[in-house]
Amino acid sequence: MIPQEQSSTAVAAGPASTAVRLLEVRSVSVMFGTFMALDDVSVNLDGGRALGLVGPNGSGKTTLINVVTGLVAAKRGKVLFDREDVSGRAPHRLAHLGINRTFQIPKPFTGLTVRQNVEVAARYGKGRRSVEEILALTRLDRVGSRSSEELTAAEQKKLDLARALSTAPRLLCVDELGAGLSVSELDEVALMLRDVSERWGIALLVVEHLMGFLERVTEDVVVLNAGQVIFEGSLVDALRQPNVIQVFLGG
Amino acid sequence: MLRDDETLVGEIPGTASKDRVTQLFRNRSFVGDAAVALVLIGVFAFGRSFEANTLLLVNLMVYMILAQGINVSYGFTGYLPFGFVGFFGAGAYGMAVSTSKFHVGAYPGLVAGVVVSVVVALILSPLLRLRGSYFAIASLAAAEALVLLVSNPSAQGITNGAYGANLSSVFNPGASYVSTVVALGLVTAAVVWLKHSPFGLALRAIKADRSSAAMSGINVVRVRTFAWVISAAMAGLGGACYAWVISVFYPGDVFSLTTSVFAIIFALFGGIGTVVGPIVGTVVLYGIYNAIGITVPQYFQLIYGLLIVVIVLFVPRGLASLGASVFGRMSR
Repeated sequence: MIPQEQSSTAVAAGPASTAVRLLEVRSVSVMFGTFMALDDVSVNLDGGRALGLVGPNGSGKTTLINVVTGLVAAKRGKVLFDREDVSGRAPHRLAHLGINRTFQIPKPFTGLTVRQNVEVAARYGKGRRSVEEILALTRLDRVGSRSSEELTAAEQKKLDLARALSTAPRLLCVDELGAGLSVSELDEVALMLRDVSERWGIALLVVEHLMGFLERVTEDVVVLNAGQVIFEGSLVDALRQPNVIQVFLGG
Repeated sequence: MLRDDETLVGEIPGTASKDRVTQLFRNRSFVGDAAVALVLIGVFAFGRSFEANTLLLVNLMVYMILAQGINVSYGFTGYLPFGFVGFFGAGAYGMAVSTSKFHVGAYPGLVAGVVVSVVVALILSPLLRLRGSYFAIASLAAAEALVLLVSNPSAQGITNGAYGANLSSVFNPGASYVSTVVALGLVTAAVVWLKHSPFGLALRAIKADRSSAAMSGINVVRVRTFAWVISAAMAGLGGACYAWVISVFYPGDVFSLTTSVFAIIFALFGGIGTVVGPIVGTVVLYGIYNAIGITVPQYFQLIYGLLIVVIVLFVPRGLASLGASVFGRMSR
């Protein structure tokens, strides 16, 4: 599926060799009324690398992604992308800079065909990537002329991924892509994610409940609980930490 | 956009044949829509030779323009403006005031009508932050405010207040009729463009989901404001043409809520998001209105009421969707 010359360029620009700080979330706090959704959270991510965000429900994972992609404003703190302060910028401007995301519940553009869904993002996202290539990569080429609301749940998730990819992101936030997928679909999507990340050097920020899915995409994780970072390091080490285990299993 | 797609298809060998079929189909739908627009213009251009009642033809055209304006606002962006007639009235008064008070010619007057309605649309654009019925009600209130502003005794020096407008200085039955035909042509062409352009895709994307549209790189506020302004300009143009044709009118004539309701029903009945829907909807329903509404208004209201119930229950996407599915089955 991957053309040979492209995968070799991906290796040449490999993640480890060009580890430049791409995303820096600096002491971000978010309040919803009196509820503190994020409390002084800092997260760093280098170009081309992948980082998992784990934690129980309501720990602030999605809120963090919402702050990074401009859908939620931080009360305090900064978001730096490529060393530039991008806090408070509108989502479409962040998309043009190279930040994109998938949604926990994908909402394809109903009334548009699958191909039109990708086309509109490719055009307005200024990705300059071939729509056909994106459709082939996400294995949606066979359903390209179908209306997007006719897709299965798994296909809708892939379409959301395709839409995000067609804007040519350098940072892709993935919000529970694995939720609700069958085992074989999980495998396929995890592979797809790693494939595109390596191919185009896309950094990934992956929110995921399913550890099996996450370990296929990245080893590095940040564990959130009640809006605070309680662990940073490898996934294997995280699962040995008493406080992390307590948070997940309720102690 | 079509050209872009072709180059994309050209880049990837092996996927071409199926895409070309899709391409052809899309082209055919564009050709179909363009043909609809041309036939429409042709019918009205020669309309006066087979229908003596010019005012009926003008009313048909003006309602088609308004229904297309509703189509742009509701069909493409999902905002249902109950106060849509406000732009119609603003256009009519822009035409009336500029020609009778500032003594400009009729054609600059038409432009003034459009400009006034566009300015009103820009002033009201913060209303787009409201959603659903809140927006519908707020736009209605704005239209009511506008008619009070125009008919206010303090504004009498400019608008002639409640005594109405008089455009006798530019009265010209021939030119005003032709201008209305041209206006209908422009409006229909604009809808054809919207339906087949990337801009139209962006509008439908916003309508489906704002957040996903924003993450696709679409400047949601700017794009939807632009659509709002286009929709208002259509109504303003319709209002200016209407004012020119009838030449004497009162504030209540051009700010009547019935006009909004008619335009909305015509558009919904025919099918929003299409080019042909609002045209067919206007022809059928305004035809029924003229056949029975004027002679036996009580039956007209009964039949209209039933029609609305039937549309909402059985054909929520309008006649055009019905036509499309029948056509789809035949071509399968």
